[in-house]
Amino acid sequence: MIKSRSSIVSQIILNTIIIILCCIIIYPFLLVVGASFTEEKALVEFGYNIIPAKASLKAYEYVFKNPAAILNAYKITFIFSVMRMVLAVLLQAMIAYPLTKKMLKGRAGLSFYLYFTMLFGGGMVPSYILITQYLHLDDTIWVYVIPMLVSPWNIFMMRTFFAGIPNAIIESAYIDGANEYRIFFTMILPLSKPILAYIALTTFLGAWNDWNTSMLYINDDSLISLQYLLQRIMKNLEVLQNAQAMGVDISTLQNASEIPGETVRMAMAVVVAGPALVVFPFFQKYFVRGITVGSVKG
Amino acid sequence: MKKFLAIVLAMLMVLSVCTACSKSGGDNGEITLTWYVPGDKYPDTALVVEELNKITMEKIGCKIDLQFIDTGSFQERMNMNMASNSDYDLTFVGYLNQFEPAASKGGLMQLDELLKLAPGITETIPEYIRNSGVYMGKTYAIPNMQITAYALAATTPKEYADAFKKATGKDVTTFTNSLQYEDYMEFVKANYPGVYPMRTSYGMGSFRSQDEGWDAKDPFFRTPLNGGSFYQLYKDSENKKFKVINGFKEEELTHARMRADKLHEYFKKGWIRQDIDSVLDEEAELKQKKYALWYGTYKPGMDGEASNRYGWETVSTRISSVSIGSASATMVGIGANCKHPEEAIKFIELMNTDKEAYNLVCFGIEGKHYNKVGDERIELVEGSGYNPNASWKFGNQFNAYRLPGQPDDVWEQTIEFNNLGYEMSKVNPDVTTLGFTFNQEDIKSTVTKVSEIDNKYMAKKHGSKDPATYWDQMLAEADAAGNQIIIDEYQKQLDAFFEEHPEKLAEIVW
Repeated sequence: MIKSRSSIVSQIILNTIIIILCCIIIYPFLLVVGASFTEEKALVEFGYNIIPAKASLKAYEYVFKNPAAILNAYKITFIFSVMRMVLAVLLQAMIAYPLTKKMLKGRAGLSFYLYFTMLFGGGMVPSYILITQYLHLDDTIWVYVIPMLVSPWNIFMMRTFFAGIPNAIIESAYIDGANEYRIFFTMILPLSKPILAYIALTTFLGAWNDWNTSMLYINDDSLISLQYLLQRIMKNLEVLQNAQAMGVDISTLQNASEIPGETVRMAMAVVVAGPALVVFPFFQKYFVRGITVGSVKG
Repeated sequence: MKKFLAIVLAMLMVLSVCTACSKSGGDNGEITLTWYVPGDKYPDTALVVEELNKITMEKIGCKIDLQFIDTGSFQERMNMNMASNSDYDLTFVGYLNQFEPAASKGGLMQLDELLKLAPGITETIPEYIRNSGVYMGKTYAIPNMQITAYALAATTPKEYADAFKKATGKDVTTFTNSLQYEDYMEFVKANYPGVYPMRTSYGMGSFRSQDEGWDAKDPFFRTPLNGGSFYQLYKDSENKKFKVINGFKEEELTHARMRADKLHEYFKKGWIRQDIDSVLDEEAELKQKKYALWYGTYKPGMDGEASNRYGWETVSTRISSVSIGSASATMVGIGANCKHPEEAIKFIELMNTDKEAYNLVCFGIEGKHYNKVGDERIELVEGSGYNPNASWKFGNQFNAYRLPGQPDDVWEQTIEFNNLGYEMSKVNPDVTTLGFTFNQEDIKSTVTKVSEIDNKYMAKKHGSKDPATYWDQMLAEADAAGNQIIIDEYQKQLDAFFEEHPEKLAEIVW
């Protein structure tokens, strides 16, 4: 197949643009990695470089000085991310599938019930009261999982996808004597891999990046999430600066453990970001299909 | 797949059991007070609390559940606790869990009646300090006694100061205002390449016009209002009243522009680092003696603490008159829905009067977390399991043991300094210590807008830009954001306050 000249030119232009974009996106990340391997003093002296002016593993030594805390946060984050991902996909699919059935009574009402929560949320304080005073989920791992399981947005995306599966396939399964559960688990779910993968990935990443939950509900250090571990360092620093502005004598607080150097923060960022980067490529082929598939019916 | 479903169902069932059984604490008539304090969690907190409970059970008949919450999330957590009417008992109030919003939204219990049960508090803490915890005429929080007077200090590494003295015969400890340091900065610039002569973390606050010999009519340097330098309180001695002014606009009173110009002059001379706008963290370089001069809040014994921290000696000089500051940054309050307010107030009393209990919370258990090296002097055990390292979080700091670097009489010196500030306050009062609080509730969004403008120009006020290029624009933007509304509101509330309390006005030396 011979390509026309114009298409080669446009290919070159497009590729250049994308390569430049990639560089713009990757460069800061490489800077962070570079800075994390730089000696603290060199960072002050020479600034940020991808290749450290003076290489040092000090920052990682500091980060892993208390490896138990990080490993534990990893473990907790991984456990609740997987739990949330599995349960969320399953529950949402099980809600979405019946909504595609015309014979379901009150289908419109159910849809509206879901849709309504998209428009009006309970708000922060009521959620806090519900979770801490009625469900007593605070300081348990379930607080990471339960409140985030069902998102109407995901359900509607799934419903659209399920609706696109030809009815003939399902009917033939009926004729072969399969019941609804069997159809759902052995036919609908396998046929819907792209949308399931998409929702699984976004849920997993959402859970992986969750620090807010730890901040509000977790007081037990053995249950905090990885992102919060990082966030805490940053926030503590911010608060210290504010405290100084308000005239609090923070001199007694300024010990090394509470104000980490620039390099330590970079190393933390690298350590925390790692797994999400690894997971992403596995889901990627579904990712693009998932986005387009849910939105275009037919 | 059925198996999988079964597992999920099993998990959900376990969950429901878990939620049902958690938090069913023993209820045998024993009172336990929850006490929220910002800070890291320490492995030995439980041990310390156990010891503390022995004291509290004996003295006030209840137990304490001391809960450290991460500094970074303390504000949000307390906001939530207050908004959700949680029945916690005691909380830190101040620079975190800010007092005014907490008191105005009804998150804190009103303490005036309760205080009668705890005479120790009123006896130990002078009224002018207790006023920091007063909102709209009612007490909602008890300040932790610490340094409350305020003065500006200039600190130099001893090495440079000594060399300067040797070369020029001038002793920095005799300096009385920041302008006198100009020779010193020039000396550093000439003799120590690579060292920045001046650190500008205080920005324009590095100069206090009334102390520089500039012809100032003595406006107040600090104002109790968030939103920074756009508001200052001017004591109009002729008319015997207080006037709220825009510190940047009423140039003849505040010399704000003069101060900004001075900083820019230093910047052009190379005394301020040229990349000042992009510097985030100066602490690392400070430790390497890369700054020759910086400004900070004066406090007795500060050189000892600094040399402890940096590993080299510093020389600090008080270069301003003393004014009275507020103690509102570090206080303790009782939750609005506390079920045992009487025990709670008695516990606050205990933290203010009982040295044993207080030092236990501050430093932990003797022999395990610290060692006594003198009557009231201790050394902390390196890497111990309990190290909050901030005695002002818990109670009356003047009862705290002395740490290395602190002089034996550090608290006597501090009290003396506070008293000096209090004496000065009769001439130059801080309205918050008279009991006035500015209620920002109605003009909140305006305050936010104006403080955004303030933040926007903050970096420029560190000297890198010529004030001529941005000054008028800054004033115009602040006006557009509604600066005058705040000034008028402040003035209105202030006038109303003095109308209600003419006796306060009478105390002031005009």
